[in-house]
Amino acid sequence: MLDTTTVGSFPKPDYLQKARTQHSVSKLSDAELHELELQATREVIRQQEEVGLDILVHGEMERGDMTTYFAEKLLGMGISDLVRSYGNRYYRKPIVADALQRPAPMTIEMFKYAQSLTVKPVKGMLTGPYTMCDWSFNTHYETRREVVLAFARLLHDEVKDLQSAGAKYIQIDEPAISTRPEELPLAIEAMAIVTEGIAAKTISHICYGDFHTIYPLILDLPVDQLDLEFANSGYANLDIFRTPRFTKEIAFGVLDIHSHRIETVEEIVSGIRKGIDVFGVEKMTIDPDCGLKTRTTEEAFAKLRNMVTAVRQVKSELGLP
Amino acid sequence: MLKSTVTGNYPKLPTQKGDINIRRMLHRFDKAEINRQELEQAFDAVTARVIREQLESGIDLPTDGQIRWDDIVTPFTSQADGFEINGLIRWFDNNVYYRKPTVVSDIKWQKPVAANAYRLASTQSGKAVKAVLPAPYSFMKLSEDSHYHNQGRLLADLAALLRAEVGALVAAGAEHIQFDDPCLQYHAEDLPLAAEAINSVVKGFHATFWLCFYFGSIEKIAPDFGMFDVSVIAADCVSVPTNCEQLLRFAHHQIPCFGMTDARNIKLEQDDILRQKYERISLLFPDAYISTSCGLEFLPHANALEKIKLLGCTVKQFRGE
Ligand SMILES: [Zn+2]
Repeated sequence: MLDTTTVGSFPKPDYLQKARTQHSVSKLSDAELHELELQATREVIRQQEEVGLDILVHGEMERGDMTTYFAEKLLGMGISDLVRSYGNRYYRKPIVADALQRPAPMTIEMFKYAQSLTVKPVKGMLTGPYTMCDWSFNTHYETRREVVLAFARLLHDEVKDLQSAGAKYIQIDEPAISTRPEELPLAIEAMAIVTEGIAAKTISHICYGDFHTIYPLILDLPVDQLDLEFANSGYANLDIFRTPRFTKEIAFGVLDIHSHRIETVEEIVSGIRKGIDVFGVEKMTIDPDCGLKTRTTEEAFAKLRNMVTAVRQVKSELGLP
Repeated sequence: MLKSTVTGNYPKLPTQKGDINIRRMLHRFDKAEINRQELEQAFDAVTARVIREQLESGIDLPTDGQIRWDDIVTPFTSQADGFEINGLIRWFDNNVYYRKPTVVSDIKWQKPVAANAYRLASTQSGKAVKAVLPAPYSFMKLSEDSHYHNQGRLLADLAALLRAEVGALVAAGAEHIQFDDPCLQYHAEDLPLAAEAINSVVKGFHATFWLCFYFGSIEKIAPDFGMFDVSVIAADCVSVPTNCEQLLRFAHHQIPCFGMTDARNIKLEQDDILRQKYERISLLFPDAYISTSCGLEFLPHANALEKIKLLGCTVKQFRGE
């Protein structure tokens, strides 16, 4: 009840940013880069413990883009030349160029490493089948549906491996899901494959969306918890979830990750109260709106510190432990 | 005779080593390694290359590729009074973002934006080049209004700004001017408003005006195409294949433009399938345009070039050239 967590990514420290650039021009070996990724992971685990979060993440220090990372580990996938994402920012888009296969687990080693550093639970972090399809080019499969379901089957294997490795929480992000409401049934069908028979708590983060268009159908997404943004709309989108009643657990976003401004404890407290009114305290986990990787480390932890303080204040008001 | 055209933007980065790399030039400009004039020259050179590539690919009516533009609204909001430029918002159902403008005071046009690029492009091309502007309705929908609180007045002032742009374009010799109206498909109930706004922009000017829709279904707006005082209606027939039928059925008052080559996926269309589609179209509309489904900037440069070569080549072949 009112556990605190984060959505997944943390800002990469300067030394890691530089190392990634050097690695990309072959001036740094894989092993050297990996060592720095582990160092950054140790730091971010310690920082999360210090700030007092309940459920930790490994911080995604080894990942650049949330789809490209998986594309590089799967067979049947390639990476495109540069495509602009906004302003002067470019990225390489994954390509589904052949039948998809998972030759080996993709996230287990880093999960195990991060979990070994703390007694608190660390979430397993994956990108969902619908988003993997939507954010990739496809030159192999006939239909989008085939692509989505192919991703779903191999992500199911990854989820099973994460569970076997001890993950109590497994998050399967679907940020693309809200962009095409007419394909929501496909995303639901795919998620059912991913989470079938999984006992760990499953979570899906969805963002940048017009939730009007996907609610209440999104309640059929086969995960235990939905992780949604609220702060960046000033909690204006909360009303959508009043009727029909929200039937899942909610990870409730209270920090606007696009803003440099550090939310005050008072405004976070007020946001949480608004959330309790709609979702009920027993179903709520508290977190930022989205991944924190676009903020500086200082901003990210200043925001989180106030979030944890706000949650403690609400808990004591409610007489919760 | 069918003619080929493109929708608007074109990848800014080259495939060819040695060609000017705008991304690098912008970085160098940010670090004050080159001055404004050198940056402008780089933009001009890239625009010239982009036009040349389209003409060499056999495109009958090219655009300037929007090489200076980050998105379709910022070039205008940054040069006019009345706007603040805010955070990144997802560009429809793409993993691409634009900067959302906020209207904070009365909107006033200051200086031409599109005409300068047009002048350069038409000199380079030696033949007609299509200029592209946002349609007033979508301009409004892509913005946040914190000043007018009156849709009619806001839309009228945006229309006035665009009318000034059109005036400058016509004075510069532009014969084809396209308005992109991607938001209207999702708000069909606003069609009379949108039509009135566009009609007020073009009134009295002698040019071939285009209205262009991409990403969504035109089903709800197609029956009312006659309300728009434009000469060409263009629609994305890839994202929503039934848009092709809608154009065939409802474009009685205008020349239709069919977006047939997928500008959001690198997979190349088959010649023979395109030819069959051209045959059907030319039976009803012998003077129709064939285009890309939307702007080409969703593709890496090499793939965009393949797409326009296919488009230019298949249309020419169809004409028996
Ligand atoms: Zn997010």
